[in-house]
Parts: sequence; C-alpha cells; structure tokens
Amino acid sequence: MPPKAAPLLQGTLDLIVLQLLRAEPTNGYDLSLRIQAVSRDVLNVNAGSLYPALYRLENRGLIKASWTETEKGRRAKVYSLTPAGTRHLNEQRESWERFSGALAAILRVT
Amino acid sequence: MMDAIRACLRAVFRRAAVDREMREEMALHLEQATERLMRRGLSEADARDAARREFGNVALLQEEGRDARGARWIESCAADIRFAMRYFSRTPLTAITLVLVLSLGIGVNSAIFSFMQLLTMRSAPGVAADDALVRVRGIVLWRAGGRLRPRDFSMPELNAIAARRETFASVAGWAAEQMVLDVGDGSEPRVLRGHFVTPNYFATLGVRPALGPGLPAGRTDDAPGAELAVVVAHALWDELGGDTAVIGRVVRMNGVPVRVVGVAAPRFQGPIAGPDYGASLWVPLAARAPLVRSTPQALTSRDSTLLQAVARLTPNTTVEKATSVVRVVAAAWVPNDAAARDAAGAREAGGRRDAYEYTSDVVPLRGDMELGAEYAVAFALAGTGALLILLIACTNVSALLVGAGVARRREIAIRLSLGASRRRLVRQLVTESSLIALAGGALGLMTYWSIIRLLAWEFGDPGIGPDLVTVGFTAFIALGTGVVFGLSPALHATRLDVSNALKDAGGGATSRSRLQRAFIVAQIGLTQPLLVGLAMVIGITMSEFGSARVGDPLADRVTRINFGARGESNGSPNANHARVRDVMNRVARLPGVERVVPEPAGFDVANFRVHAADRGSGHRAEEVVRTQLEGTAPGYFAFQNIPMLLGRDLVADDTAGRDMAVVIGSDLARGFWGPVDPIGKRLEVASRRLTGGTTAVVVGVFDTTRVPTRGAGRVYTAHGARWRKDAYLIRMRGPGTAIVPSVRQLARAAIPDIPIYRIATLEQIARRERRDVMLVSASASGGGLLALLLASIGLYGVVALAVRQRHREIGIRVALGARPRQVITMFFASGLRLSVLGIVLGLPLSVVALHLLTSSFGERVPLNLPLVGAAIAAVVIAVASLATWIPARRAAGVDPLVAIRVE
Repeated sequence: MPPKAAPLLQGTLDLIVLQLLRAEPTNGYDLSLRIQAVSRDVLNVNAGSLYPALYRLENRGLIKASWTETEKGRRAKVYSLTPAGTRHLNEQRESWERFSGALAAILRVT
Repeated sequence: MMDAIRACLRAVFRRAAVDREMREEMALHLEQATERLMRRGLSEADARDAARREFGNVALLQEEGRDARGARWIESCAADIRFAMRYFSRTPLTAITLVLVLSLGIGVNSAIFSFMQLLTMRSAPGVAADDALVRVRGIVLWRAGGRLRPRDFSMPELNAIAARRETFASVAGWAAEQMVLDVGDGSEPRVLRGHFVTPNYFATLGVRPALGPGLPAGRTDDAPGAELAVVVAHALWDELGGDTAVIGRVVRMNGVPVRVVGVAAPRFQGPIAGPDYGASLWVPLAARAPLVRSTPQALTSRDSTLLQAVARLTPNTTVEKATSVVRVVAAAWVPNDAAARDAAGAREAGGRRDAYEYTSDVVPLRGDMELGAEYAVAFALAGTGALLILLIACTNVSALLVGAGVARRREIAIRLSLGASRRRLVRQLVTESSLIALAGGALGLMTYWSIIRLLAWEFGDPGIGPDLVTVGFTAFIALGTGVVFGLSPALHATRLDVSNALKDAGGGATSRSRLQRAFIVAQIGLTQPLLVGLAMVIGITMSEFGSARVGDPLADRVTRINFGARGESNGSPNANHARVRDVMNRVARLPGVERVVPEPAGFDVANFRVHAADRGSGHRAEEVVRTQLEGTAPGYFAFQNIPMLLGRDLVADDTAGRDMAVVIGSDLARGFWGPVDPIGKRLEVASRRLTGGTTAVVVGVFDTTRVPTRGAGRVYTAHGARWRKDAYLIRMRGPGTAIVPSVRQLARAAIPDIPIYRIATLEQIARRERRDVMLVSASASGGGLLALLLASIGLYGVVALAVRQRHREIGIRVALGARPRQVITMFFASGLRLSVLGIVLGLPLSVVALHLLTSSFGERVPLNLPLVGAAIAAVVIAVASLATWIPARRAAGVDPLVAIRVE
C-alpha cells in the first residue's frame, strides 16, 4: 500500500521542477514520473498542474525547451535549466531551507 | 530575460506552431503513460483510458497552457481591434469624420505654432543657442503714436557700445548689401545679399567656417586688413560644385577681385534668418568702400547709419541692464541729420521737440524678429486661429464620440448583461478610440509635414523643419481628448442599471448634450469673426495690389528696371546714381525705345491744407488732407499717357525754386477748390522731411480716372529731385520684354559693380502680384472654410446625437400621426436655433476683430463692412442649415415600429 499522496504545498512545484531539471534535461512525462519516484510516491503531480507550471517557467525564462528524439525515435520536448533558472533555484532553495528550518524548530519547541 | 522575451514573442507571433508543439507534447505524454500501463498488464484500450483519466482534460489543459504563456491578453486585444474595425466599417462616416477632424486639428495647429515659434524663438540656423548672445536693436520711437521704427547704427555708435566692456564681452556689427558675384565660370553673375562684417562677427556668434581659415579676426574697431576676402555660404558653395579647391580662388564681387577664404558653417546665413535677412557672402567691413564705391568716411561719420549689431553679454549681465546701457549710448550719438529732421517733425507734431526718440534696446538673439506691431497682431491672430482650430477639433471629436457612445448604449448594456466585466468594456472602447486617435494622429502628422514643407519651400528656408515638441503637445491634447471622450460611454453605461439601459437605450446624457450645444454655439460664434477677419484681409490685399494695373494699355510696353545702387544716405547724390543715369540715357537711345523716366518715390506722407489766401469752395477746403508726396521726374505724366486736364506736366525747372510745384489729381483739386481753376493756387505743406519750401503751387491737374486708385489721391512734385535714382521705367514701341537683353548687356559692360535687382514689364509684375494676391486670398479663405467646415461637423454631430437620443420619441410621434415634415422641422429648428444664437453671440467678437484689424492696418478698409458681415452670416447660416438638415432628415426615416418595439 503506497503512502497517501500529500497535497502539494503552494508554490513548491516550481522549486521541485527546477531542482529536478538541474540534475538533467527531461521531458514532461519523465518529469512527472521522477517527481513521484524521488518523493517515494508522496507527491503525485498530475499533468494538469505540471504542464502549466512548465510553460510558466519557460515564459519567465527560467527553463528552456528543445526538441530531441526518444530512444524509440519519437520527437520529445526536453526541458533544461537556463542560467537564470539556476540562479532562481539557488535563491529559492536558500529561502526554502531557511523556512523549513524555522518551521522544524517551531514544531520541535511546541 | 532574453529567453523570456523570446518565448513570449513566439507565443504571440507563432501561435499555431506553439499550439501544435503543445499538442504533440501532450500526445507523447499520453502515449508514454499508456505504454507504461500496458507494461503493467493492462489492455491497450484500458491503458489509454486510464492514462487519459490520469492526465485530465486535454483541451482545458491546452487553454491553461496558453494562459500560462501570457499570450492571452494579446489575443483578446487582437479581437478588440477586429471588433473595432467591424464597428467602424458599419459607421464609416463617423469614423472618417473623426479621423479627419483630428488630423486637421493636429496638423494645422502644430504647423501654425511651430512656424510662429520658428520665427520668434529659435536661434538662427547655424548659430548655437546661447543666452549670452543678444541683438542690439536701434529704434526710432515716435512718442505721440507709440510707434517703433528700426534704425541702423553708425560706426561711432557701435564703437561706443563696444566700449562698454563691463556689459558687453564683444559687440559685432554688419552692414547688409546686395552684391553681384561673378565666379568667373562664364555663368550669369548672381545677385546675393552680403554682410560687411566687423572682424569679431564670427567670433561673437560662435560660428566657425566649415572650410578655410575664414576672415581675419579682431576687435569691433580693428584696422582693415589689406586683402579683399570673402567667406561664402555653405549652400552657395554646394551650388558652385562643393569643391574644396575654392579656398584661395579669386572671384569678382561688384566687379572687384576678391579672394575666397572660407566656406561658412552649414545653414549659417547670419544672425537673423529668413529670406529678407539671410546672407550668402561675408566680407570685412573695411572692404565695403571699394566694393560698393562708398567713401571711407561712411565708417567714421555719425550720420552714416548702416550697421546692425549682435553682442555677447558679460556673465551676470541681464538684457534689461544692457538695454539701459545702450539707451544712454544712443542718446549721445543721434545722427545730425536725424536731429534736424527731428526738429522738423516736432514742428509737425505741434511744437513738441521730443516727438521722436532715438534709442536702442537689447533682446535675446532669435531667428527672425523685426520690430513692428503688425507682426504682433498677425501672430496673435494666427495663434488665436490655431488655438481655435484645436479647440474646435477637440469639441467636435468629443461631440462625435459621445454621440456614437449614446447610440451604443444598448450594445454595451447587452454585453454587460452577458457578463462582460467593466474593465473588458473599457478596454474595448479604449481600443476603438486609440485606433481612431492613431489614424488621426498619423494623418495629422502628414498634414503637418506637408504644411511645413510647403512653408519651407515658400520661404526658401531649408531650416524650416518639423518641431517635434509642438507636434507632441498638440497630438497629446487631441489624442487625449479622443481617448477620454471615447471612454465616456463606457463609464456612463457601466454605471447605469443594466435593465434600465436595455429598455431606454436612447435617453439620458442630457447634461452632456447641453454642454455640447454650448460648445457648438461657441464654435459658430467664433467662426464668424474669423471669417469676417479673413474677408477683410482678402479685401485689403485685393485693393492693395489687385486691379492696380488691370487694363493699363501701357503695361505690356513698359519695362521696369531696378538697380542695386543705394545712396549712402537719404537723398544725397551718389556717384553710383550718376553712373546708372548715364546707362539709362544710353538705353533711351536704343532702337525701339520711346521714353525712359525714373520711377517716382513716395518720400513722405505730409499734411496739406489750402493756403489761407487761396481758399476755394470745395468740400475739403478747410480740411487737412494727409497724403503721400511723390518725388516725380519731369515728363512722368507724359510717359504714362496720363492726360493733363488743366495746366502742365512737371518740367525740369520744377526741381528748384522757392515754392514746390505740384501736380494733383482732379478729385483732390475739386475737393479743395470746387469748380474754381486750381492752377496757381497754393497749398501749405507740413512734413517732417521738408525743412524748407513748405508752400506748394499747383501747376497741373491730371485725370484721376486714368491712374490706379492708390495713386489718384497723391501729390506729385519734382521739387528737390526726389524721384528714385535706382529704378527706371522704359517705354517701348512694341513689347517691353524685347529690350531686356540689350539693357542687361549695356549695364554689365558699363556698371559691372551695380546689380540689376529686377527687370520686368509692368504686365509681368502685375501678373506676379495678382498671383500673390490669389495665394493670400486662397490661404485665407482656406482657413475660413476650414473653420466653417469644422463648426458644421460639430453641428451635425449634435443634431445627429439629438435624433438618436430621441429615437423613441420620434417613433411615438410618427405612430401618433406626425408627418415626416413636422419631425424634420422639429430638429431642423433646434439646430438652426443654435447657429443663430452662435451668430448673435459672435457679433460683438466680429466687431472687436474688425476694430483690431482696422487699427493695425491703419487704413480705411475698402469693404462695405455691414454688407460683408451680413453675407458671411448668411453663408454661416446656410452651411449650418445643411449640417442640421442632413441628420434631421434621418429622423423622418425612423420606423415607428422599430423605434417603439425597443421596450
């Protein structure tokens, strides 16, 4: 029995996508699988949120898309991080770490 | 950042491709998900279904994807524009009128203002704007009349001004003179305006030559250099081929060899721009004596006034302070002959010795600014006209837009009830008004540009160019009006209760339409004085030049020739005049020539009254008649074939003698003496130009009907030989043009240094003047018609609006049996009421305008003013009626069923 899927915290999807794309350029489907796998099935991101997020990020210039071929010879759109995206990710990670640290501390105290 | 922009642009312009890619990407996602599920053992159909379920609604997702790309608003903007285009194509007349009104308002207004600004504010071309640069102007102030007349400085006065070093860092002067330039390439010599300049002229203006060393520099009063040198204008240099080898070349000016030492900076034409002031040649002041055959004394005598001046102020010196300094200098250097004339003038003015004041002032150096109240009046007139046009344009735009808005109230209500947000509606309307504004603005710019090009061409000044600040300001006002008033229906309609608006699509907005009615009344009120003023301008131009020589049988046989042989000071004999006279004597002996006579010179306007001992019975016997005294050469009337009714023509003996022998017109003679023979009768002359001989004796009376109107009332005398020495009339047996080549040849051989300014038959001159009259009249009437057209458009808009607003009422009236004629009359009468009200309110304004014009032109206006006023009022009423009738007629076409069914 897989653990119950946790609701995604607001605004964290962008951070997840950027973090995963930093590891390697990926297409949309693989990205959704990877989110599930890395979070050990805790996070389940459906296509309805993933694709708008991707387009939003692309629009902001944080990621860029290019067309490549899959092993089976299908055209696939692969997203990768831009330098601006890398910078943005670093900033967001820092603030996330501060935030989660603070949250953890609060939860420990009370 | 660049990536983001690129993505956005791609989303907008390559929408189809982006959508295709999005579909492909999502299809791949589904396929991969299906494959994965199949690997887990599902059948292909089940796997596909499951994948789809998991994926969600593809179409919705694509929409969201598009939203995420930010292309949405641009797409809806495009939709707005498409809708606006459809709307305009349904009401093309309104759209076209709006665009035209806007473009006229923007184009004409900014053209007038930039031209005025150009003339008054801008520094001359090629001269850098500099607050320290000033013009020192000599002024003769007539205290009694408060009138100003420009005067020139003498060299001693200029030096005295330059000596005030605490005020002026440097003072430069120049004497303008027409010169004949022969570049020696066999082409026809050019007659050009040259400036004889003090050695610090260029340094004071801060202008460097574009080529060559330029004139030797120095101080205001530095000693003359040995060599004759000239700097030529850049435009002239271009005309001559633009060869750098021109430096050092020797050209002939007035027949004297002069070395070219420089080419002036591009567009530089001296401190004052404009066709009447700009120079093409610059020569040291010291070279003036040999070039124009003047004496060196011309530069030392206080009576020899020939210089204009610019100066550079010392730091912290204000224009006011400098003015007070030059005033003091001016008082010390009044020319001797001017002082004598002043005394005579004082006699005329009733013994007040201080009637004239010789003074100076200092003003910032601007492009073109001569003294003269007539300039101020013309400028005020043009400026008011321009503002009026802008005001009218804005009012009309608002009237039309609000009218259109009222007509759309139902449409807006429907959109609101279908759930359109207020913001969305406002955006739609802003899109529409911006489109109109853009089209109007573009057309307005084109109008502006063509007017400016036309002016530049007309004035021959390439420096007249677009002035973006003025255009920007005007466009801002006009376009702003468009957008704001375009919005008003949205703001109004969206505030309304939807169901109310749906039911009562026509009503409301009465306070707004009342305001508009007021605007229309004001427009018509203002149009009328404008038209009256223009009619008067036309009338004056026509009477000044028009009919002057029409029907003169001599016109084609008489050639007028005008030499550039100015006297050193007024009236004094001059070597050049004698040389011109010799040439003309030789011309008189050429075959085909009947007679040669110097042209008369109107040298003074004097007061005449009948001598106490000779008083007759004419209706002006007691009157002081103020008219022009014409210095006329002996034989002039015989030359012109003007018959003497009594007495004789002027003869050589008349030039001397104690009393002044005069010839007058038959009308004047009858006015003074009635039926009594006027020959031998005396007149008392009061004139500030005449220091002696103030009694005139009538020796001849000519037939007034045989001379042009403007010459009929004048007094002609040969006394003192005051006719023109530089302009002659040549009468031929055949066509006058035949003599032109031989005269030119003769003059060029005998007096190469004296240019022929103009040579043409009277017929040609009259034709040119007539053309000028036509031009002035055409542009004046064009302006008047424009104002009338704009006012009519406004009237049309208001009446059309009223018809639309009262659509339902008309329907009910027609349903209850009103005849179309009655309906038309109802609206027609209301429109007519507005125009009549406007005309009545405009009357006092017309009177004021007329008064202003008459006083500034200082002449009796040759028009029957009440008649002209009535005619113009009639025209305004007629045009206004037409503008009212067209929309009023539309009211009759209202179908009662349609109109009432609205509920």
